[in-house]
Amino acid sequence: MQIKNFDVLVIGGGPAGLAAAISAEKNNASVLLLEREERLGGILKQCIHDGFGVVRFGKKMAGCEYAQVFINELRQTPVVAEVLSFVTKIEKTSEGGFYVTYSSKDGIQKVTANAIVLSTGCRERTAKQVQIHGTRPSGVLTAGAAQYYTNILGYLPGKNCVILGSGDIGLIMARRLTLEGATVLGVYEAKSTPSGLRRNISQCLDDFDIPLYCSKTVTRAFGSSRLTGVEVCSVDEQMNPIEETKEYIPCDTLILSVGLIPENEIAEGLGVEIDKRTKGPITDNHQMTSVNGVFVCGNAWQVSDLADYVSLSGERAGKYAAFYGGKKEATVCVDYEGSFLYMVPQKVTIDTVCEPTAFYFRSNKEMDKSKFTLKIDQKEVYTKIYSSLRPPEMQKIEIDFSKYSITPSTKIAFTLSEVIK
Amino acid sequence: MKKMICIICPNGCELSLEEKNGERIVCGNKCPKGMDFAIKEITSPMRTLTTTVLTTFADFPLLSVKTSGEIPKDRVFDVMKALKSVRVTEKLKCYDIVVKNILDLGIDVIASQDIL
Repeated sequence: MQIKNFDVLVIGGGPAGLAAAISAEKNNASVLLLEREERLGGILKQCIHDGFGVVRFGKKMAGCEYAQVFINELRQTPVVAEVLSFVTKIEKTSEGGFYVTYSSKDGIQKVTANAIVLSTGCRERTAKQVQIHGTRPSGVLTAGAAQYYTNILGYLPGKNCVILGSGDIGLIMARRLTLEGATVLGVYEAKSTPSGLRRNISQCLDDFDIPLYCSKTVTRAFGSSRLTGVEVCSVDEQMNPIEETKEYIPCDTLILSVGLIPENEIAEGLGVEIDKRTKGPITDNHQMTSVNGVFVCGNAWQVSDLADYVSLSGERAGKYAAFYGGKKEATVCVDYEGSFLYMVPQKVTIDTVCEPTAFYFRSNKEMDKSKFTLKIDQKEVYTKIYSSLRPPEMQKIEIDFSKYSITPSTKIAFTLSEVIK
Repeated sequence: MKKMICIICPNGCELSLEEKNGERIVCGNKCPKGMDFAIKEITSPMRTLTTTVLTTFADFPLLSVKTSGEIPKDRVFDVMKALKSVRVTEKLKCYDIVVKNILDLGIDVIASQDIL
């Protein structure tokens, strides 16, 4: 049996993978895109709310509408896109390529690829990981699951809901559930400030008079077959519950919006180095990981606020996966000092940096006027002032390294600090 | 002085609107759209609505839809109620009209995805 070979294999058909596949094909690669669900689009299929595409297309689009643009574009290309296909094994070949096994509705399939783009997205943190004690009744769902029920299947998850976590998904679901006739009793956030975008606090909570309680968390669930209530509690600065502040809230649904974790089992299986801060693979500015020929993009690389940035990272990964000729490029590590939660990419290639590199970062705390600098061998070569920074709001900055001569011993460092008045 | 967050783009600028001598002064906007938003917000707040409608397709039970433009914020629940009775029977494409001129607001409800 002949095994097909592709220049580039893209794993995951959400916004990152779609952009990567289109980009790789544009750069003359033969491309296979494998998607484990029934339809392309990834998480955007259930994101019926708008706000997508403002950066890329200059207009507010629904998530599914945004994905549709890429799905339609992909259909015009010779990219082979297979759905209901799940990668089960990847082995490196002696020629430096990859031998891939996947499960599909036609049985077990095998292909080889010269380069792989991982666009495997992320998954949600669950109740287990946030230590909610008590019984385990039905009615406790992650926000994404609640969104899937509401927007894909047509089921309202519950009537009286408590939401834990003020991340964007939780805020979006607060509005969605309210519009569909449920009552959202409150959004509880363990940190002292909300996690989601400010505009979502406004249009999802304020618009509907849904209260937001910060420095509070859910500590216990009650109910035997169905949730009957939760116990909420104030927390201190270390996020430890303060016993005396326990309060019982009757409800039938608890929605958890407590964080996203990049899905990188395949990456780890390939020996890809993971950054502890981003929980995603360490990459250079070509989206290549520590393993030659393995590229990563989208939420598997870093959890992004904007689909527009996910598409950019996908385009980049697809392009360089198409260019990949088997050789490992020399890279320089980028240091970051100061109030960074994280910054990506963590490395910069030396000889082929001939176009601006997009860096993304998050501050590790709420900051007022802040100074961001780029230092090449201790010399400040670039400065930007931000009027304010918040961890939930990811920043993008483009640096053109072609202006500086980078060698393997060059020290590249970014710094971020609050400007003291 | 009214304070609000602009919802037009991801920046979410903190706007403040002050009425002085019959004039409205808006601060905090990083672009001109923010000024229009602030004034509209205190005179007649508008919103786009995104939701779903039922279809008759067993393998594609819901179609995501959105309003083709903004509607008054205080009519959002009326539109939600009006959409409850809609049943999509054709394989619509993104941007096809699902309901024309909903509740006489001069705005259509359109598909925001293809039905496969």
